[in-house]
Amino acid sequence: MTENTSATKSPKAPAAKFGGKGINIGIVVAALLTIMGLALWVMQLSGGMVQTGMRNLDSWGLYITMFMFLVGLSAGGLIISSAPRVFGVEGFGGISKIAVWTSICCTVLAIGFVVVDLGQPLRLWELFAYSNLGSPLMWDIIVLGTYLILSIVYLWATLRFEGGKGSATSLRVISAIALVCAILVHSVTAWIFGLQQGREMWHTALLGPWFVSSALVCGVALGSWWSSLCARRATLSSTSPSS
Amino acid sequence: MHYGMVIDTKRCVGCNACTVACKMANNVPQDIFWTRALTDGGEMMDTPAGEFPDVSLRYITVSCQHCENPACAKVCPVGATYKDPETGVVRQDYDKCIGCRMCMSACPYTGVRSFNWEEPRYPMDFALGDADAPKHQKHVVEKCIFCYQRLARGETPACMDLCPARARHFGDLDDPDSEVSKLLKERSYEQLLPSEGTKPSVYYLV
Repeated sequence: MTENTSATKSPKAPAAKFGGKGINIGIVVAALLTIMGLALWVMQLSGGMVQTGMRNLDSWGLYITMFMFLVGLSAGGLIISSAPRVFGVEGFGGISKIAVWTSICCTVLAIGFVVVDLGQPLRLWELFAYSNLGSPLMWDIIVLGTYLILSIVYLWATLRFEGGKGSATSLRVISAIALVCAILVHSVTAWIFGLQQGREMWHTALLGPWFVSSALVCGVALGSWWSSLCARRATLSSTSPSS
Repeated sequence: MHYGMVIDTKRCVGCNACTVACKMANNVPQDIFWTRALTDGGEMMDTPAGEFPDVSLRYITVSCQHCENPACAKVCPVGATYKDPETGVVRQDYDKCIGCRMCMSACPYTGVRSFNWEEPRYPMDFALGDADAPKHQKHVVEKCIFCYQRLARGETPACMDLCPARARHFGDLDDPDSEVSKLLKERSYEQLLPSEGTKPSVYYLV
């Protein structure tokens, strides 16, 4: 067995995706990018957000665009992850797991983008001390936080179920809650923009369904891209000349 | 008390003395204006609309409208911008503001709110204007506050006093005997973007 895996791995030596080396390289690269990102964030805060190029007449830029996009990816991913299980469609187990994992990553990134967009991130605690519950931003923070915890619980339940523990019914219930929550989270994000009467393009009740349907498309794209990538790699490392 | 402004567009000449008075009294940082005289006419500032001899030109001074139903106060997640129940002034708490700029996005009157994108720069080495004007901070939103520090002392906002055409009037809209209430009874007026449902407290006499 060991000979086979090394025989198939050597032609793909630079992309040793499932080996210890590949993951270690990935971790080091990610750590370097993180440190760079943190350093740039400190630079942004100390030198002034004028460095981002955003100005007064249109004060939201790429950060909020990415936030919106990532919440959409996250919601879309979770919808395609949970929908098959809720409706009893078989055979989507692998995709489901990948989709919820990428969904969690996207949620964390989305929250990260909002935090770097803030002028005073050190005052984040005020969101919980002085919350204005009438604000769509506040609703989104509450729903996004709940959604993040729920996605993690869903992933944990999925892994637990695949490991043999936990019932299919309980997983199906969690899937149903996740499905509803995913649709809700991107609708609430849509309302941040859609409830602004001064912005005519956004100010429509259709913005919620618009965001959710776009999220579905993006989520399917992300899920199918990741799944095909993993399936291709998995096929390559599991087939061998003598198996 | 419901403080409001009445601005006589038939008198306003667009000199921007109010703009400068405001900047001075509140030590407003460079590149930020809390009020401006906007040209309602041609495409460029101080140009009329139409072709001679049918030209028209007027000036609309725009600052925070201190709406009765402010879109900004509704969306601020921490309540840093809020409507003062006693005076009706929409105030801004710089210490609370987290710099999310949602108020700037939600306000239909684009341009009245400014964000300090960098450490505030001032034209002078010393602070100008009122000693009790709130100190400006980097990375928070600011706007016209109806010179709240002056109202607390019983004075009128800085933009009111210096207008050479005597076009600006300030007072309590709830008081039927105030100057502003009387002007609104006598003259015809219009408001900015009434269809947005924000119920601004600024009236423009036409």
